[in-house]
Amino acid sequence: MRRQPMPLLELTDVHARYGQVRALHGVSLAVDEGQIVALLGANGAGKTTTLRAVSGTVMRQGGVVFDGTPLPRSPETAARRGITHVPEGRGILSELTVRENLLMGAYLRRDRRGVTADLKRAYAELPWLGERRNQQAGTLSGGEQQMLALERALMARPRLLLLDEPSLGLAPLVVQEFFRLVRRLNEEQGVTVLVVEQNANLALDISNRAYLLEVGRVALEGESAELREHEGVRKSYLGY
Amino acid sequence: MSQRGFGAGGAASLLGAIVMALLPLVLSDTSEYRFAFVGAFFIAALGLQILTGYAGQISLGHSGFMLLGAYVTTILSVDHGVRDLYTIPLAGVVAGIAGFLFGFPALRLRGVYLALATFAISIALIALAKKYEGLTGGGGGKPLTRVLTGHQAYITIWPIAGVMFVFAWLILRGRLGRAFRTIRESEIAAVSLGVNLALTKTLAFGISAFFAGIAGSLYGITIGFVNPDTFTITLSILLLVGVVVGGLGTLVGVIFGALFIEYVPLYSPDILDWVQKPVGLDLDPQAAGAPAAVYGAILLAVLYIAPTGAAGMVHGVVRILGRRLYTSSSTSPPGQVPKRRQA
Amino acid sequence: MTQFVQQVVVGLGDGSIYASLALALVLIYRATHVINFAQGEMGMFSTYIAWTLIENHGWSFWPAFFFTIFVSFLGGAAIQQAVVRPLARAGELTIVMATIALLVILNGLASWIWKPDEKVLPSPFPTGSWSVGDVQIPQQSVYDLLVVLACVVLLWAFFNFTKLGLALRASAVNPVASRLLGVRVTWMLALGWGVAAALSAVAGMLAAPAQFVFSPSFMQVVIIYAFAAAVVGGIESPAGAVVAGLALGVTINLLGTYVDFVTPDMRLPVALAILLGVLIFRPGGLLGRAVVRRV
Repeated sequence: MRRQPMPLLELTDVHARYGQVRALHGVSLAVDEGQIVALLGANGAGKTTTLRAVSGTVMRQGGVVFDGTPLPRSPETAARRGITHVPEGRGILSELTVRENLLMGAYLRRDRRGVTADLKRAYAELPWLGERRNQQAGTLSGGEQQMLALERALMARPRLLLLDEPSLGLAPLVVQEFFRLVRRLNEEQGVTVLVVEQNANLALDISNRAYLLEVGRVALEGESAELREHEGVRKSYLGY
Repeated sequence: MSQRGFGAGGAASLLGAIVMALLPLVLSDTSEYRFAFVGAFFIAALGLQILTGYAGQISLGHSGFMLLGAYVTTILSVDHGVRDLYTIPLAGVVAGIAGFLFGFPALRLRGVYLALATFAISIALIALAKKYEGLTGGGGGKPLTRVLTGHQAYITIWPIAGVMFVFAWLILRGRLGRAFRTIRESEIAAVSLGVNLALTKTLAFGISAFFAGIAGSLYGITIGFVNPDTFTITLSILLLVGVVVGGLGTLVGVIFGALFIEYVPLYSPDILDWVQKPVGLDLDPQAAGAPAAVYGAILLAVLYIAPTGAAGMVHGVVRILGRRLYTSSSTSPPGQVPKRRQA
Repeated sequence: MTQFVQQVVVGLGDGSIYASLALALVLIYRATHVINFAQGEMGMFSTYIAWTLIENHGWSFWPAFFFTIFVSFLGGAAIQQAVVRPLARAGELTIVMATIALLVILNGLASWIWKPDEKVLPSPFPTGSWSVGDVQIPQQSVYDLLVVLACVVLLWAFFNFTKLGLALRASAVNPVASRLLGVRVTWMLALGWGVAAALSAVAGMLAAPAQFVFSPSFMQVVIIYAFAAAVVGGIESPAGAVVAGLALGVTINLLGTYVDFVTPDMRLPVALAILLGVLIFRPGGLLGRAVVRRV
């Protein structure tokens, strides 16, 4: 892919902590517009924390620049600037209906016609979503909730989508369908994606670039195709 | 209390005991009288600390158990000629049994639901006390056999308070205490660790009610008069305030709470005076409602300044001072094993 | 029979006041997860504000009523920002303590500012009764019920048909996810407290005429009933609060009329005993979520 002059998202020497426990020790990464970038690493490596540092849900220091301007540490502001974070566990509003969840996705939008159109599009893409629109979101299965979370994120028409462990707890077929959808959205609508995945295979499959995190630092970075061949990655994360 | 056994809490308690023993030498009779009440509140608050601070069960019914204890003492000493001091343990036991029995229906309730249930006890007991006049003297109350002087009250209550404190400490450092703390953190985890939830919870209620009963009995003896309206929900709330202000989950903190309960309402008018002089206000500190407003404001201020209670604040100060004395720090970068001094 | 119908209507009138306050408690519990012990006193304070407007400034009832609701709304939001928000990290018990402190402060302030003597809030509703055949239906009770029902309907529409209402509900359900969707959750909390304060004001301004005279502690019995109704209805269920409040009002009234044991002094303990009975069978409250604990 032709490298654009300025990345959409750029992290420079970011530190983050939970109370007294430091989780990130100077992470630097860049995500170009239109790319899918993966964050790999073992449990506790700091992948989720990195996403949280972007969306502002964790104490952090360091440079976080989105679309050329620094991003303050505030989830509401991140959302306002076009960053939609689908957190670990999906963050479904379980007592609200499917439809209400989708509408909340569009909370920041002012164009009612556009929202209604997008709602229709979501129902068209996933017919079962439309059928269950008045069902309580908490009663959906894990896979359905993950799809709902994705559709809800799209209702915001985000520029950057942050996905945190979307495959967690889902059956392999569901995971495939999910990522197929993500890839389609990236190709057709140009949604930039930063995805955290423990499943390295999956992550490297779907992404253009990847960063490998270890103990709160970037250990390796590069094009996904290259990382696939990297011996260390293969042995430790791909299992062969 | 610290797992190191005696430690800082023990030292503080010992110091406290010495101070309490020497205090009568310098205090006037009125002050001793007030301090006697602090002692009664102290005992009741210890019980509540066990139930709420350690076992995590919220209770608004503590005043009801105090009422029970007070009436056991009154009825036995006035109507049956038992020496009032001898009735104290019995008052505790009766209240304790009532608390234990209450534990059973309470097993199914949690959080706000439990709060409502305990609230109901307090209300119900007051109503019953008013209704069965023959026994209790009804709404008008019932005088006891004698009235104590300040000094007598002080030397009656504080040794008992000391005993109750040690008793509480012994319970809490043992298996039961650990079971309480586990329940507070997570009932589900507690059960999976083999804690008998039903028994532990009912024991928590029973033991705390025992403390309340003794406190109520002492309260009655000190005033020389019992009246159902002394033991209203306001008293339950006051005790809860004392426990929180002193610090949830610390026994040593309870003394701060007891002092707060007794003295802040008393000194509210003076505090108002003291605050408004430099500001140039001229409000009447004796006007109806003014002391209450000031008391509430002070309570709020305490909650802001010391959300972990007085004991938490003291602990924090001690820790900061302690850091200057030891070379190893408690916050080390991850991945490095700190050199720990064997304490 | 005529006595029965009349007592049911009176019970509904009383019950609507409990329901209004219970609804306020539920709103706050859903948003902040604490019982606001000061809810009754907030309603009391609002009532005094209304009284001042009517007595000292010559306003008529309904303008004072609506203005007081507006001021109470702002007051509730202010209390959330100034008192509750700074303590958010300190744990629920501390916040509950803060509401208790608030209760004491408001009660003290009311006595201080307006003196503790009994005052009268003129009722906007006629005090007579309608005759329907043999039955005498007290007008004030019916109007009280209608006012509260109107509030309930308005609130229901707000929560279910407006974007802001949806955002409020979302914030209560999952504050973290809501922030990620761009919702300013702290403003939502302030809004919730504001609405609750408005409901308490309604409860107070209806209760004062119903009790004939009022003084600084007049809402303390009301809040006990409201607390009981809210809990038994299921502490997170607005519908439960309303239903339980009305049912409570009716039940107590009927018991007080027909059962000798239930003297005015015994009303409260008996009511609580009944409610405890309900809780034994349904620990999550009547309309509360079924508490499933796999152990």
